[in-house]
Amino acid sequence: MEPNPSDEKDRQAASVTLDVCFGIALVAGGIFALAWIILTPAGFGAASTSIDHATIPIICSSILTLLSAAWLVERIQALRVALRQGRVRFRGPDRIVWQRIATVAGLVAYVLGLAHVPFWLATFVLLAAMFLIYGQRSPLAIGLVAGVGAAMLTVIFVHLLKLPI
Amino acid sequence: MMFEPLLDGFAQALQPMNLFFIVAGTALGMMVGALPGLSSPMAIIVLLPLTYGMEPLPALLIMIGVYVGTKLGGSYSAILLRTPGTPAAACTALDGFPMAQRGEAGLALGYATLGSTIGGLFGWVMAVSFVPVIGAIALRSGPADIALIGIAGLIMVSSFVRGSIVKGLIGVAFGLLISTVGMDPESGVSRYTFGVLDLNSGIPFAAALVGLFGLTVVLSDLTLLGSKAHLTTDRVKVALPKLGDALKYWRAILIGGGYGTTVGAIPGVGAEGASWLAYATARRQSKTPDAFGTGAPEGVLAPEATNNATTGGTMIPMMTLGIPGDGSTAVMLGALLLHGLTPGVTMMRDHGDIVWGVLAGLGLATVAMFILGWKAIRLFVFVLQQDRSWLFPFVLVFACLGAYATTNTFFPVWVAIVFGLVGLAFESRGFPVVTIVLGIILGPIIEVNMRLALALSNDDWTTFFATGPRIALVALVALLLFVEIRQAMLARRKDRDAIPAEATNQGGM
Repeated sequence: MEPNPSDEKDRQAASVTLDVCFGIALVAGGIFALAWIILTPAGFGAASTSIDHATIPIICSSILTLLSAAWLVERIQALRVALRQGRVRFRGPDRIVWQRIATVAGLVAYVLGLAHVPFWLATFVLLAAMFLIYGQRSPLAIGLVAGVGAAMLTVIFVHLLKLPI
Repeated sequence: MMFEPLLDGFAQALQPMNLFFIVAGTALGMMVGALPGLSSPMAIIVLLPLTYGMEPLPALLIMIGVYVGTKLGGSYSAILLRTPGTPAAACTALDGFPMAQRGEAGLALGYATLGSTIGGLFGWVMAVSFVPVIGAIALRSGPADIALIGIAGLIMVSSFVRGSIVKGLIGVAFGLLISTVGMDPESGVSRYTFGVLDLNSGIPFAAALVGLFGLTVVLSDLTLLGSKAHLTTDRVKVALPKLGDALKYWRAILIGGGYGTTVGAIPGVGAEGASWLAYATARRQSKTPDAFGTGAPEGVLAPEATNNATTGGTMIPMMTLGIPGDGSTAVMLGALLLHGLTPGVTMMRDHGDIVWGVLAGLGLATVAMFILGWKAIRLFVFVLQQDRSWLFPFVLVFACLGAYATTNTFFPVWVAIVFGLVGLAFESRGFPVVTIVLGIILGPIIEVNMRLALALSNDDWTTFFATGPRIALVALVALLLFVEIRQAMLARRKDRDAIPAEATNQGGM
């Protein structure tokens, strides 16, 4: 099916808007890094050359800020053009976005869980949950692959490589 | 003189366990390469936790195997699906897929296997020849030279990676900034630690790599889940061309080998850019340029010879200067550090046995790749057809374990998760994460050597122009910046004159 030209323009406008947001974040990050290092007291350690603890961070954060600002300006101009052609229309989070959120949430839960439950159990739960989130639907296959996988990982890392986890 | 250490290297690499690691790594690399989206750095990251308990050489040999194997594996999906398994195999699809469509899939795979092998061996010969020479020169270089090589490397990375120099430089600056986190080694001042004690020794390097190459790849490739591969043919069998037929295209192979080795030796450029350059040159030099794009064997041989020749090229700066040629060698450098070895100009002197062992392993992996590609193609094609939803959860577990095992604490795992998200943000806006990684790696090398150079010259900045090679390096940096800025300005002017709609979808300067 041919993509609707109007939808395509709206999609482009949304993409350029995300570029602008990312550009703003980069500029803000650069300014923050620059301000932080300038305001940090040098302490007692004196540098033996004209390069001290702040020199490289100042150079890098300045470059980051300036280039990000240049990119941001260019993206803002592109956004103005895009807005003449279409509208910024964000649809609700799609399947991929939910899968990404679930992946990160799963990892966070896994790391927190490892402090309280045995490695094999936490790994089994993570694997099974991820198979499910990534679209597998057969409980038998999920249970089998997660079970065998968790058992093998436990044997390799906990018993053979003696990883203290 | 060169042959004795090389033979010693072969003696080490041919030990049964080491040989097993080379072959297993190569097979794994070919599987990973065959799956679009999965990359060699990610496969090496997955292996990291398994190699912590190993001696450095076997650990590096398995990584070398993966590195070599992914290069050929990438061509399988390019030829059979028109979807390159790796970015470097993208232009293999231009002629490989049309060959497959007209019923010559086996022959296209045969040309890819042969081109990769000859290119790989070409790169290997170059690496074996140049590593000792450049290693000896590097030993005589001072801190100012090393700092300038590092800076030149970063500028080259920014210039040659996909996207634009502005995006490249933003990535590099971000990576350099990340590398400054932690206690300043000279003054003891804490930089960007925000009171977190774990950050005093800096961002855990391996954890950042796990995040940027492991988790980012999984998070960004979730779009590929559930897609079933439809091959152009059901029965896949490699039909190696007769040597005489292949040698008819010696020019394409030579161009590929030359570009692969040379461009591979330039830090950060890697095989992606080199294979396109080689393809374009082979087409220009061909007697039948019009056949390119319609299924010309030269169009398969040139890029395949290129991307495997880069494996030799990237070894040259990695082994002699401690500067990675691409993402995979960046991860290998991280592995060297984790095994207590210091990559850099002293590597050849202090750990020559490991350098020669790795170089021997590179040659053996190329041979293993040829045999596996010839005889076990069906296994890789079977893997190519599998759904990634069974694979990605295991990658997540391996990534967590890889980060955890660096210090046996959970802090690096959190760092990896944060870097996974940061990498996803950069990737989704078209910023290549390899620039961040190289910034993180080269940052400390540049800073320490700049300080050392100034300390040795009584804080005299002219030390950076004091010799011919240094002037050449500074001139190279200035030239690259000038050319790239000029091109960016010209492109901008062209964009302004072009139809407004086009300007919106370029994604940057």
